[in-house]
Amino acid sequence: MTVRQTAISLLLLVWLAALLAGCSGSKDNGGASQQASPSESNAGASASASGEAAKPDTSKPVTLKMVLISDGAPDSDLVYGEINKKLKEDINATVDVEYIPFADWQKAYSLKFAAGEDFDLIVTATWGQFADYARKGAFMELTPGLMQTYAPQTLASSSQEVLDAGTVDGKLYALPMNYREISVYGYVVRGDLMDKYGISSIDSLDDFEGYLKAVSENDKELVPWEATSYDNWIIPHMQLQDLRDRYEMGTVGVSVDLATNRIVDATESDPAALELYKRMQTWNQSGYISKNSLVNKVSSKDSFVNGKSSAFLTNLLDANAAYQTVMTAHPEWDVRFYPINTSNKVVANSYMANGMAINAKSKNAERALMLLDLFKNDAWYNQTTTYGIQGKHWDVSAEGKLVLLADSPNYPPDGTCPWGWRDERYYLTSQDGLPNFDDVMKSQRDRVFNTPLNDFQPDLENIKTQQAALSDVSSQYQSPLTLGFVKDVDKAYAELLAKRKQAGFDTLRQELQAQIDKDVAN
Amino acid sequence: MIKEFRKNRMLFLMMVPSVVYFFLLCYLPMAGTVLAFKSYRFDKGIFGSPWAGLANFEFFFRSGKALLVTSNTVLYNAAFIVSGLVLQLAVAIVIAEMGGRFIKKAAQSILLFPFFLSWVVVGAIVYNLFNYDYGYLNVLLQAMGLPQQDFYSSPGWWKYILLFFNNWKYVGYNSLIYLAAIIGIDRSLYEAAAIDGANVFQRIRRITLPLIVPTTVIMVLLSIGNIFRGNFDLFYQLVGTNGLLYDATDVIDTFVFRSLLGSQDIGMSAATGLYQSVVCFVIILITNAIVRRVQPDYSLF
Repeated sequence: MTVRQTAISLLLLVWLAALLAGCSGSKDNGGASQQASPSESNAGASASASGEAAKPDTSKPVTLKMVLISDGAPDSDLVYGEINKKLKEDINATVDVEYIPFADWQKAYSLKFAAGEDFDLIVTATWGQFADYARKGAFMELTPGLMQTYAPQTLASSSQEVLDAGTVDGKLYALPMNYREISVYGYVVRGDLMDKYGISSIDSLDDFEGYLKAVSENDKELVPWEATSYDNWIIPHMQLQDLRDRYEMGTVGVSVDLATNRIVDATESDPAALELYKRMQTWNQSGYISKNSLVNKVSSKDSFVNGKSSAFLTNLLDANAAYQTVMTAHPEWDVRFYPINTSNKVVANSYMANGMAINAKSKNAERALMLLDLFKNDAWYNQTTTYGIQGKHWDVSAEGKLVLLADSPNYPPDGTCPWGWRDERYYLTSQDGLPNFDDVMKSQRDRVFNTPLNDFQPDLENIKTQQAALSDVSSQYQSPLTLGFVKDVDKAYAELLAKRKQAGFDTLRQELQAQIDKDVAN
Repeated sequence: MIKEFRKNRMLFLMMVPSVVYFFLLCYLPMAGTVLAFKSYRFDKGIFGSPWAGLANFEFFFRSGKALLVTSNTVLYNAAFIVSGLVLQLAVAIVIAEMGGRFIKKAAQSILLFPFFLSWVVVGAIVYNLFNYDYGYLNVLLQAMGLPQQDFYSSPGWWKYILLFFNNWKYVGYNSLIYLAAIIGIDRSLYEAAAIDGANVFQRIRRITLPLIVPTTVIMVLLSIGNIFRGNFDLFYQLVGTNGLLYDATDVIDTFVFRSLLGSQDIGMSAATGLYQSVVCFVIILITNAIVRRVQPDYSLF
């Protein structure tokens, strides 16, 4: 009997332990000890640099590990095999690439640093909270000494503006791409339907409404517009910011008047916001927007490409890809792209829209920097990592345009995250893209407006509480409004404003304005 | 103590692996809880990062939703526990009383099957049942000449939908535990009762139910220990990013996920984790104390 009782109490003890453990929240690895080696290697590097512009010592072979965000490609090993053959000759190093899949990349990305993993190079960008990570000590500072010794070509080829984009609080933490990227948002529609209903062009929200109306009345088997997450961000972004000469700052959710550098809260102060929400409600009730758009797991683009819906909104590059996909299967659809911003100022993306950084704990930072110098400034490395092996995956046409060969799907252009070292000198435009691709691009480039805020890196440490609360408010109250899912727009709008206030929007705004003023003054 | 150890050497030996397991994977990491009070820096690590005081807890309570999501979490879990208990007991008893071996096994397998579907798949099934344009239910309603229902904009339905799918998924699996307890009951008790003329309902009420009370209490205590943890997969996969339903379906875990997805702040997520753990711990202490007072043999500790 006592044996049994002991056994039972032991069993209960184990259960209890399990219970407590289950209750113990954060599962981290108990604080692996951290070594701060980078400062040493930095010191060594700058010492040698100041001594003489010595040739870097590459006698010891090293293997670099590079982390990229992509779903990979079947021929990735093949392509990087070729790269490694040449790298071995040039800098006595090879590179192992690890891809973080797009799904949930944020989680995997931050874990790479939090777990203290051993890697050398990693992609970073404004859309990946570059400045935040830099401030939290994730990246190694690239001192002038390091740059002169190990990345001289990059120093020569990058303008000061490019390097400034990778600088946070006066220190260089990443090498931004040497490419002025412009996100051109627009409507993607079917030309055959436009011709059928006598619509000649889509130049405004009214024209788009007319197109959706015609489709919803006449083509019952088509969903006019699926309006999943990306599209439903584009409409208010364009109508309330870009078309009103305001600049929406990346991940923070506020926009700034381009003329005065003052934060404008378009959602609250601009009557156009309420008007837009009312229009969206009409669209929703008239069936122009799918009733499933808040929950649909199939993207608007996929739905369009598969012939289930008649329109979607996206950026020019994505539209171009959709055009090429549809051209092979359904050329009769005559896919067309109409940019939304046709006459207003255009703010180009920061050069830090993509870049590469070195892990603060990297043991081979010098060699990693040399590799970046090659990827960024050598045509062969740059184009091979971007398009694959020339003659197998791609080739150049007589006009200097990119021609995709039969094997290209196994290494799609720009598909394996070579974005961090993209360069204007080597980047090719595609031959079989949208007919108006070059015209649209040129029209946008002619209107580029330079603002000091382009490379502004807000410090979110003091407002992260408000940022988290606002991120929830926008998901719960703003998304349904922008897709017209509410019954009483005025009431929902008032509620949105009240909730934003409660979440601390004013504090966030004041703090950011103070930071902007300081940044502009410098 | 030493005598006790010597006497039950084998039992202690058998316990070693699990003790080591819990020590390494559950007790050691508890030190990481300090993250909740730190402003985490990658270069300085968990213990070297600067202290942040209670700043990491602020967002949760400042959002104005702490109360709503906490009460949602508790109410949903309470509903899951109560309905689950009733259904699982019922299923276990019915299966135990069933005569035909084939029917018994078939019923068990059918009930068990949903347990092996991931919530992602269940989410897709739910979407295809309930969506407006081509959802199975709406097609059915249309065919019967009734107006379509827009489930995804009507928060009222979701309490029941979530409750249904949670039970649908777990009832087969959890009833196995009760079934095992029932099978362990001495058959002679039933035979004696049958001779005395007890019918099937009397046998269930007077024999089966009283004898599986200890198992039931332990199962309930175990689930109460997690009452402040929302089943993230269930709520996230079924509801997704549909803001219209949040007030009715938001639990602590989904709310925190949504708020911090953009900022990826480790300290803030650790803070909510700690909040949940502390409340869970208090709740389990209280329930256990109550159980001990009523019937000391049934309490966990």
